[in-house]
Amino acid sequence: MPLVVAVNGRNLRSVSAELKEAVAKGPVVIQDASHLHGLVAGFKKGEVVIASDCGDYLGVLNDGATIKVKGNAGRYLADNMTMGAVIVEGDAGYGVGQYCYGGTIVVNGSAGDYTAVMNKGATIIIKGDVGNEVATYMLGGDLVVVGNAGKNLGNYLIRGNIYIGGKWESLGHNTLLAEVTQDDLVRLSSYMDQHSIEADPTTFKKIVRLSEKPFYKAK
Amino acid sequence: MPPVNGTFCVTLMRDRCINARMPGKCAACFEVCPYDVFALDGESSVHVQNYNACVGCRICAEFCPADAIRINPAESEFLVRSPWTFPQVEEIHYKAQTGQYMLRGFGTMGRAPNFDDITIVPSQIASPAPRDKYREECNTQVVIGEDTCENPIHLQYPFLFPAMSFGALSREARMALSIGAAQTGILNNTGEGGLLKDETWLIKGYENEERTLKQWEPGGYLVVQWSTGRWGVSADYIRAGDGVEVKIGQGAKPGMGGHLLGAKVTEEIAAVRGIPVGSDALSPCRYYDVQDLEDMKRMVAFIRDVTDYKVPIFFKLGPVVPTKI
Repeated sequence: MPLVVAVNGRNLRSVSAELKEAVAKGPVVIQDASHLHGLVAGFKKGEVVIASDCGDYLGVLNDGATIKVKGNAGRYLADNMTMGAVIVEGDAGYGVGQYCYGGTIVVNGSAGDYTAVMNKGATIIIKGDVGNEVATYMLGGDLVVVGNAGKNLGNYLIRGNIYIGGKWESLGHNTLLAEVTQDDLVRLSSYMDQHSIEADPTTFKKIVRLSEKPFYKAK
Repeated sequence: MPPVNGTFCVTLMRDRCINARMPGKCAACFEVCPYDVFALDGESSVHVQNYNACVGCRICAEFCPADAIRINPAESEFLVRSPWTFPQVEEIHYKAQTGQYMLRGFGTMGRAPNFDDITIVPSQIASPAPRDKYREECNTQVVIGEDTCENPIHLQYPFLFPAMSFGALSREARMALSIGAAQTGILNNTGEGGLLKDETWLIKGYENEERTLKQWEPGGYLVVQWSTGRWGVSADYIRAGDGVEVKIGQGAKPGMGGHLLGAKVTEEIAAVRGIPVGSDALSPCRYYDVQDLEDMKRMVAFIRDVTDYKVPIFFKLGPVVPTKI
């Protein structure tokens, strides 16, 4: 039986203090929390289910917890996460998975603009569409977009892979359409099995960086 | 590239010079110069080949048996046409021709004030004046975060070491700053290169990780920087400091983010920053995860939450008038 944390319109400090105590005891459920921003920040373990929509910066600096959102997520989901998992059943707003070093983010719906910017190693899976300026200056990790992307996809991509099932409006600077290898297919299939994605990995395109140092002439 | 100092004029007085009258008879200046200012041609005749390399040590003048050499300082270009000094212009030419950056230590040429230059003037309105400046102790302590957190910072002096990342600086320089802060009871700042673990015990005055050897009193404070590149940032990193500095801008590169070129990213720096060896760390100019003031307030709120409301949160602003650099 998960522990229920009742928000009752309280502020972040109060709710967060109770959450930190509660997760030590077992799985936690919380709802009516969309006015709270920066919920479940920097947790090293635990399981939290948000049985409603959630605010901005959910799971920021997440370092090992598993966080599930039954509704829609706000902006900046799982900002700067290093470990753990954040799963959203609805849509997510602007800036999913920015600056992350590791962990997994799954958004069942769509995500907004500037998704996966400066992602340094997380696995970010968006089952719907994504907006513009996605994966700008990405430095590592995998971004999987099952749907379509907007403008300037992968602008100044440096490391990491973008796998996209649908179409994109335009590609950013320093991008290259690469061949989907056997290793890629194996990895994509495993993502699809793990997260119940109904798509054929062989139809996906792969975008990687063109040059490792696109800003100046390296030695 | 041959050395370019451009700070001295080298004069050979040929009416005195032995080599000028009898080539091959004397080449003392050529033999003693450590910087290859002089050269000998095929007929053993001495001439100045690179006066720009002269550093003014005057060894040649001392050894010249005919006292034929005069080394005089050239007009200081730093006074006359800074920043377009001859070395600077040569460096720009080199960069333009090769497309390579110059990797060198920059140091500082400004004169830093010391306590001989500083006078502490008692306040009379903002806080109560002292009763008598001769019979009352002058306390330079500054407390930061007294009303806003559990563990405020008590600086012994109103000084702090500004942020200079591990990567911009070497490991030794970072350690020295922490030891210096520990010795004086002030504050050091990680900068945006992530946390060099040693600093967490050095800053408290301990020589070792086990904290059994306290070498430096009274101990200082280490502030961790939250910046636009988030290199090496994690929940543990945020919690490791005695304070968190939210960096909005910096004076070193006004309007831009910090840049660390791949050539400087060693194995240790790469490990601390969480990037591959030899890869660039180019921080953006601003946060991608803050779009307005409300977002900034929320950011501070979650930083407070992650640090359990224990430590002060700082802001660093770097607005600069470019003509003043």
